[in-house]
Amino acid sequence: MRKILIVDDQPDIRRLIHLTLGKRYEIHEASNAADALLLAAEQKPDAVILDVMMPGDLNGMDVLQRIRADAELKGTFVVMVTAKGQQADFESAIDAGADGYLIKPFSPLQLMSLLQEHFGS
Amino acid sequence: MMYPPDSGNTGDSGALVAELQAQLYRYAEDLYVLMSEHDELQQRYRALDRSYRSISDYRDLLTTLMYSASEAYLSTSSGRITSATRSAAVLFGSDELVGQNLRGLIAAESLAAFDEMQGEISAGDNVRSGGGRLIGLVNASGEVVEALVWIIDDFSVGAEAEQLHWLVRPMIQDRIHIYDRDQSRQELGGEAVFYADGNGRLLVVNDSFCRISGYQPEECLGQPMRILKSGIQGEHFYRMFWEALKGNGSWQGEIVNRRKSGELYPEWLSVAGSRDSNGKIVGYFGKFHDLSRLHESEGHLSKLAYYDVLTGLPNRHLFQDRLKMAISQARRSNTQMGLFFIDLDRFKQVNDTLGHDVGDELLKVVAQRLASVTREMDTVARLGGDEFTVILPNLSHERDAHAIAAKILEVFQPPVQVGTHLLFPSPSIGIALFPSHGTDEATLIRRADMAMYHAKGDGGNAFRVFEMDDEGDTRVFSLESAFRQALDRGELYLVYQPQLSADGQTLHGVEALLRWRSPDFGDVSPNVFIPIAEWSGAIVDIGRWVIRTACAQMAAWREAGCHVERVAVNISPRQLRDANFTALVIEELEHSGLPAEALELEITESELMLYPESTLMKLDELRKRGLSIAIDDFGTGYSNLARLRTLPVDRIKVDRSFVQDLEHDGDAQAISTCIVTMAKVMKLDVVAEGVETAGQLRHLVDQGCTSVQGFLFAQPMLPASIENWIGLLTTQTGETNVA
Repeated sequence: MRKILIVDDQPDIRRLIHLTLGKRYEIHEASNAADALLLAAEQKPDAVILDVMMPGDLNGMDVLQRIRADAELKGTFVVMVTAKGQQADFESAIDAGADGYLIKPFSPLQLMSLLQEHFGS
Repeated sequence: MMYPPDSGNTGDSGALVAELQAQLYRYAEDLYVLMSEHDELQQRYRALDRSYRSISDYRDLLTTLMYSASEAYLSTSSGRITSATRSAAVLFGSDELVGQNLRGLIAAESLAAFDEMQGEISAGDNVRSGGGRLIGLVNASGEVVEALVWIIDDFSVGAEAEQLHWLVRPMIQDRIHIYDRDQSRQELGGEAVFYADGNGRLLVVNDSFCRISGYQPEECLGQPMRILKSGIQGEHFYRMFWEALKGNGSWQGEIVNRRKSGELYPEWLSVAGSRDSNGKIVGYFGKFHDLSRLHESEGHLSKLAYYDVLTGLPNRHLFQDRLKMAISQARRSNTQMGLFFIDLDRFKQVNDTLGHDVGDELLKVVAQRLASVTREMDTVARLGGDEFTVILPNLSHERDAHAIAAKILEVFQPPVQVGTHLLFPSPSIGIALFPSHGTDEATLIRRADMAMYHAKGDGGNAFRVFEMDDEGDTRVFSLESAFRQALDRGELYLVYQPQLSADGQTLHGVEALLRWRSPDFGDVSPNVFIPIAEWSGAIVDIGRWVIRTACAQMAAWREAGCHVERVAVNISPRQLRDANFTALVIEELEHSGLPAEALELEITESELMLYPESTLMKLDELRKRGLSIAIDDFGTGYSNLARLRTLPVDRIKVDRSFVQDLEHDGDAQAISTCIVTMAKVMKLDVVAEGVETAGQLRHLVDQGCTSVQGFLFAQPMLPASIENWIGLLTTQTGETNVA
């Protein structure tokens, strides 16, 4: 089973994504950037669902940059998630090497098909 | 998998709730998309299924034509017959065909064509794709018999052509009427098949041909094909038609023909010519089906001013034509014929209070429902306003008319959603029969109308057959009048269906289901009597009786040491609107001595979503006292999940329609996964209804559904059976496993 890492500070949203994907994938969750990086190094996930806005020193964009800079993790499929109206985030995320981008509230069907397309179902 | 501790977010919790709510909305939208796709797919499957059936119907008929018993097979080797079927012996009138030279049996004038056929083989032509040649054969009495001849296989292509296999079908000499073997096929709108000779005279017709054209076999056999001509297509059309037949050998397209009654109808026609060796057309194979009911032709037909624009049903004009036709048919064939007059109860109120647009939408739904339960040969017409009629030709018994009327009552029962309005239409049906109630149109119409008014006078939602003796002894087939007394006469009773954990080990509770066994009508489906109870107002008393009886039963089980955790009863909108509802429920609970936790109220999704706040307050109040609330039939109504979050609800029940499709329908899987997921997020319990197979159960368990109800584990049972059943469950699991 492929591994997905969900990074979001909101437990309800994590749980929602977990329930959406849990039947198909092995799910890991992190509530902040630091935990996310630790878990990513430990679990080597196949994909990361990454919230841009997170409290703390590092945000989602920082996590993405570190993943891309890491020799072992740089090939990981990363889907960035952020709130409506943050158009600037979209461009910087693409520049920083995001593979997919969802705007909250996101369509669960779209999330599922993004992953299925990438993994070749 | 690991769950890190929540970050203890102290941010703006209002914004977070709003974000989550927006996200749940988004899930609801996707759910809606999935469900409408699911719906559309189902409709496509049904349409495909129908068209497939009509194709196979046609093939069957053609097979009958092509492979009739008189067909003969022969094999030759270097021109000499090596084997022949029994039918060949009959055709040639000789038992000693084997060893004879086939060429010697060919009439002199056909020898050239016969040799040419064999020549084509030598040239390597693919004979199998070609048409048969018309060849004259000489039988034992020296007579020439015309037959279509094919070489069906040539195993040795080349000049030697050692082994040949022949199919010989004598030309149709007699006029044949083919009976459709399967009556139900005919009702599906079977295809008309015919064969005409070179002069265009009909030699073969099937039942569907007679039904569509309105001619009896003896009336049309031997007649020229042009008896069907409507005169709508001009000379130019027929020139093209014949040119196509001469050129390609076939023609197909839509044309308008005329029935015996004079009525015009569109048909889809395919004709192919069969030729003799000189290329001259010697006959025509044709098939067609009646397009007049097909939606595609609606625009075409409105031009003919026979159809009602709003519903697409035949209008008064066409109704009169069809009635006339049905009466003369019934007279000829010595059968009965039925006429229904149908009027909607309280339709005027709908128009007056909700407007004509809502009324029109309702009429469209009613038209569809009527069409869905009548037979192909029946005519459903709209005379105007909320007046509908059904013409039922070919009834073998009066009770057939009753059965169709009962089906109409049943199909009317589900409420109709028009915009935000939930309507409960019900029909009053009057029935008159030919010949017992009249032998002409006017009398039948008057008497059906009269019977309809009697049905309406009795409260509506009923059918009534006209009775000759008007002074008295009118037979009233009113379900409603019977139902009014059902409660007092003790004809109502409850059965209970267990709800279990998905492993079937733990009993979570039971659902009480209302049943009616009528001495006159037998076991009547709740789908029929609940709506009667609903609009007649009887539901308030019956609903109370259900709560009291279920509570008393629970108390009795507990008394007997048989612990059932919870009983669910279905609550109707009418009950909930009752101002005393809350007090009444509490009173019944106290009367039984049961704790509030033992009672659950089930409310259907579509209704719950439409309730005003004041109604929801009642549920909330009951819930605060410890009762639980479940949403019934979840997934079938307006799934405004954001609203769902604000409702006082503990449990949702996944509708049986999704459960049924789980094993073979990806959409149903997606929908039920979505529902179960949503429920989990909202911390609601989920019960899947109608679980019948292990496969369905497996899907539900995968999705995380924890509670199930259905035949797989237990059917609805009488109280005593429930006790036994719980006893068995306890023995099997070794402990009293109730949660």
